[in-house]
Amino acid sequence: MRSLSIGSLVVALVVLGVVRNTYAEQVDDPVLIFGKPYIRVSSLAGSRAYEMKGADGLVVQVKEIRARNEAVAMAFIGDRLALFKSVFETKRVDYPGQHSRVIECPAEYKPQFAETNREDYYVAYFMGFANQNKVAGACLPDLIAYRHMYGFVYCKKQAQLFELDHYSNPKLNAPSQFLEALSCEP
Amino acid sequence: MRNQKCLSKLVINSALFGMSLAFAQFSTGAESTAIATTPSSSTKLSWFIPDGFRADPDLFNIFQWAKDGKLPNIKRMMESGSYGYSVPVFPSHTPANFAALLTGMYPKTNGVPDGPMRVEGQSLEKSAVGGFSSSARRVPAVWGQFGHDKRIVLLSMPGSTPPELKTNAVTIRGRWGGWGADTHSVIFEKASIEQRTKLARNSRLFMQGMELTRYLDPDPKWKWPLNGEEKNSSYLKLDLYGASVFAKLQRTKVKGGQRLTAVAFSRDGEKTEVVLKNGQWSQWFPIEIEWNGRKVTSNFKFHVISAGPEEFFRIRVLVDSMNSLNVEPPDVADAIRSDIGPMVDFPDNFPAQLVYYPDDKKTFLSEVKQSIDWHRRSVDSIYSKYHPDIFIHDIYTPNQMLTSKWWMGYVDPTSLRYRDISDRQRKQLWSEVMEMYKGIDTIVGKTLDNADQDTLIVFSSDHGAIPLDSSVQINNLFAKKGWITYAINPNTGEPSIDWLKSKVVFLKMSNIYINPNGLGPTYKRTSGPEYDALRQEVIAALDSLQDENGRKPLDQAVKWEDVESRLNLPPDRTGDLVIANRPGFGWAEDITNDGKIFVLPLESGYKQAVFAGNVRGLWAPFIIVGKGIKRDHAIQQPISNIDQLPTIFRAMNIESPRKMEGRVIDEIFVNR
Repeated sequence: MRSLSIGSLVVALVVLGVVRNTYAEQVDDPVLIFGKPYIRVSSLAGSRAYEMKGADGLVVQVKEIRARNEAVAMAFIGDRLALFKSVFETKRVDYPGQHSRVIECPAEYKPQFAETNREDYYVAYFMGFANQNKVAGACLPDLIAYRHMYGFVYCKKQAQLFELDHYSNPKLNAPSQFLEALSCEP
Repeated sequence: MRNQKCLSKLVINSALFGMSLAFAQFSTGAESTAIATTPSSSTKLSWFIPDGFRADPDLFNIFQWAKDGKLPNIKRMMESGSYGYSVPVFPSHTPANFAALLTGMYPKTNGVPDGPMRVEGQSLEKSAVGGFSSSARRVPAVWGQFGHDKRIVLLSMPGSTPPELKTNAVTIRGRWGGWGADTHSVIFEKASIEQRTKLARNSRLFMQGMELTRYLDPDPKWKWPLNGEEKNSSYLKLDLYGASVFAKLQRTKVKGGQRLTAVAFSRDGEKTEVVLKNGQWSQWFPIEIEWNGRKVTSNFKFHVISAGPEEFFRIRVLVDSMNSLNVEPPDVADAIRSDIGPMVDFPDNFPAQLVYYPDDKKTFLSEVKQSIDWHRRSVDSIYSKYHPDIFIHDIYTPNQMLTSKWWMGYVDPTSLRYRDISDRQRKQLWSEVMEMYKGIDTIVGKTLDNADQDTLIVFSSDHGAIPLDSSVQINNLFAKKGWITYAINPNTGEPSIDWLKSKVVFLKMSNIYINPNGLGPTYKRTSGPEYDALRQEVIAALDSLQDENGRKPLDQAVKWEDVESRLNLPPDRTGDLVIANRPGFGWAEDITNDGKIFVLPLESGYKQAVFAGNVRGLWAPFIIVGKGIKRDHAIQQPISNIDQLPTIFRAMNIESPRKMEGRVIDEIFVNR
């Protein structure tokens, strides 16, 4: 009888949203990543996600990926970069016709690939553009809202892999500044 | 520690108790439901949007079907909520209408008037923007407006990829989006010049890409097992996505000769894994495939559509639609697959392949069932694994079925093909259509079972489908007029437009591009007396066009200057003319040697470029259940697809950061 009444109370609290659903991850205080403070955000499928917002519309989203070792990390990076690149490949149109065949992102909007392998970290990324919904594949001038850097940082000593989405004002050079300041030390 | 465990157990038990109370509102029927009595708002959303799910008051009267007991879960929704019809925006097809549903805005604002979209300064040969891509949208979709704290799952949603949501969300692409590893199912058929010519371009998914129907001859060099001694067999090697499967065609003596009676399959060319007769399906077999140089875990399933006399074979290889390279995050593919098996997203292909032989229909129906089964099981799986606050789910199967060759043209009395079959045959077709509707209803049931009392449940669709009697090959008309210059490609036998010398061209789905100085190398929108005169001439030519029965296909031709005000389309993403057709017709791009303008299409259903307001066959359902929503309330007038999201947000007490163009359907709220 007693437990039922406690149970009813908890049901009521759950229904009212007072008791937080235990499945959602807790959002913590700021944590240092690449030497900068990030806010942890909820992540549904297991990986830890963080976000930092700055001036001029800067948004940096970082996801920590589980990778047992460097080989696993490199395979993951290869898969994910291939997936990202597929957005910009020439592909069939949604409704093909005799003359409607191909969707192609003009060369000037295709992201450029770069990578750096240093003693402490490996970074590989595409530099391109995103639309105002922060989606890669803005291949028309009117769709471009952000300069978008998408890539991975693998910190060798710490054996940590991070997936990175860096959105910034296209008129600024924020990605370069970010890369120059990149550090695996907290 | 012990206390903590006890508390956890208590919380879980109590939550289950609470959930069971919530479930009871649906499972015990209309009399006991109490969902609409609390005048507060829902905090969760489950929105199921099957593509092309026709619902109208005349022929596909799903609300009456539900009341008659044929669609029990839709009936549960009707009794627990408000329901009515929703009218697609123009053009009445999937990309424009999913964008309208998901943004609450017209194409002129959300930027998605079409699938392929061309713009000034770029070649007309190559579309710059694809309407199924999330990158095409100029405004946020529904899923981008909830904030980080909502767990969101998107399943097979047009416009959801490349994924916009990278944290606290799962995106399973299915067919749509031009992102990630495409692994279309394929047909292998005995090489036949006649059939290959018949299929021509339609066998190809993409001109420079793979063929969806592939032709091959048996070859003794693929004999397996190597040491085997079998006289009555011939051998095939089926290559697909970097993987190979070996098939053995087995013959039996019959009166007057031999015929194929079975096909054996092996992945390693040694061990027979399954032997299939006509119409039989194998189980799924795991297989490693390649995509863009990356290894991907996938699954194949084999099916003999037909094997028979004259060594004829037609083999379907169904390929798992879900893999680690088309979902976000990548481990979702394995997680869901291990729970409910490989994904069958929808039947057949686009362009349709299961439309050439009578046996194709059986295969199509089998794939309909498999796709519905998978999507139904996916609902439980997704809720148990990810506990989404927001779950938005599409299945393309209704559209595929209702626009396919086999049904719409024979069940809708407005079709010219309606009298081509007997009433008995039609009864059979209706029963097949009804099975599909019942299947969708079972997915609705799973949605209801997984919802709790905080969930707003919405069932709708992007558009219906109507009969397609005649394809109108407008470019043949323009070629006759001398406005298109083309040459036949000696390698493919297909016409190739000389864009520099051509002045007028129709391109899918409803656009005509005009420039008296030529349409290439890049398209430039021009003006002036010569342009105006040519455009007027084009309109006159289209207006005077009529088929052998005197029927005119053109409904309206709207100049680009007027498309925003008259059609709610963005002028910078449309042609110089946007053309709407009358029901029964459908525009086609083809230029053909015979120069025919009106041809009988393979498909018998259509939805692309018709004004849907007065064409009820293009209407779709809208049912909404949740806190503060009236129960058993029939919405008085058809709403627009753009009205759905504002209404959903009102029910969830969400303020959209941007004013939507749709209106809130006030009449459905208990407290208006």
